[in-house]
Amino acid sequence: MSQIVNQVRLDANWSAISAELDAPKASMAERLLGRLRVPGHIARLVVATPALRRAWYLAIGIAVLIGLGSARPDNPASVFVLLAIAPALPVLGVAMAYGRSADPMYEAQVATPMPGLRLVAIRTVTVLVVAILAVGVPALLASTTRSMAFAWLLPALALTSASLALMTWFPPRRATAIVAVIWFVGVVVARRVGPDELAAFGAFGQLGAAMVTAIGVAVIGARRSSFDRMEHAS
Amino acid sequence: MARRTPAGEDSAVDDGRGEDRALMARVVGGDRVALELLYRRHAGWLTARLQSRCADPDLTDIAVQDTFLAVWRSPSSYRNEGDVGAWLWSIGIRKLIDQMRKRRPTPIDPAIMALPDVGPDAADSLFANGSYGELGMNLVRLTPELRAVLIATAIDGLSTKEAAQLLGVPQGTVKTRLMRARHAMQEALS
Repeated sequence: MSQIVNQVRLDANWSAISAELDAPKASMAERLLGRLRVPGHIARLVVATPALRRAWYLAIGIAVLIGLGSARPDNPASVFVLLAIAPALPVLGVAMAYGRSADPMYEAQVATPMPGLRLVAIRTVTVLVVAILAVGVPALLASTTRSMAFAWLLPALALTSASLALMTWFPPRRATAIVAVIWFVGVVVARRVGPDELAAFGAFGQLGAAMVTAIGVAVIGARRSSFDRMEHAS
Repeated sequence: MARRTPAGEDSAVDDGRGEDRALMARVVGGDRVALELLYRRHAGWLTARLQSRCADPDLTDIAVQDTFLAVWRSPSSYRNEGDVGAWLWSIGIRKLIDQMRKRRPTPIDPAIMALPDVGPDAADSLFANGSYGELGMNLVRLTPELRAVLIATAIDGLSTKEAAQLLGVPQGTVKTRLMRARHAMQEALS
């Protein structure tokens, strides 16, 4: 029967099967990302870097803490602290995972056509998604505090986009540090002068966060070329 | 719905079936050599027969590869009974449809979609030699469109939805053609 189909073709197909069987098995997280149609090389990048994994764990841990913390609304001060820290953490976690000192893949990155800014963007999105999922589930369970449990989401997006926008001018760590300082000063001032303790997370705060997010995204879009420049320069 | 198996398996006399089952038992145990032996035994007819369902050889090759990868990864879906070749075909044709759904190649010309002249058994020419008898004769007399639908459902063992994907026509069209084909066959045979 093999005379019907070319033997060379059959051998080639077997080689392909063999190679597939010999290929290193993707980890569970990687396969999950594959299911979600994340391209293979990005999936590997997201799960493989040890420093990044640290950022993941950090983000997940903090997110769960916030979920639990805001589920106890009897102590407004603790809610304030958690809400103030939460939006900054995804960005700080990613900045921590990036750079010469933290990343054993740094040298490899410099040599790859993946630009630094884009890399940070991928990692930030990753951490954000995980953090949102991790905090969202406990928040939904604690139905009485639903509004406060989600109050950090828009600020988190605002800080992330602001950091990425600043990274088109400054090195990643400096950019995130500037944003973090502005954020912390902002929420403390809002607490002092605002009508109540959680003023920064009220309607005006959320509106401001939405505006900052929009501006940040616009700046990133406008300065897209810096992606390419980093791609070739680094 | 119970899956129909390709026609021909009950009429075939094949000494290789016991060997197929022994190979499958070894594949379940994680034996790569057994998988390769199984491939060598079955890839030829499977490739040829899938090729008669899809004009693009690349898609056919991917379907064949996916079939044996699926065999390796979940060999327990073979229930230890029935014909290994028929089981392979049922995986293969669905892997091919998966590929066609993704890439949307030009569907095969129904006139080319012939009765399978190769099968999982040693008697490859079984079908070609007119073993379908009167049924086969009447199949030939149908219009190509009706025949293709009948082959895809009755012989390839596909659902009307899968047949629609294979032939690149809407599911409703497949159902209508199937009905017309059945009427034509009934008339011809009565």
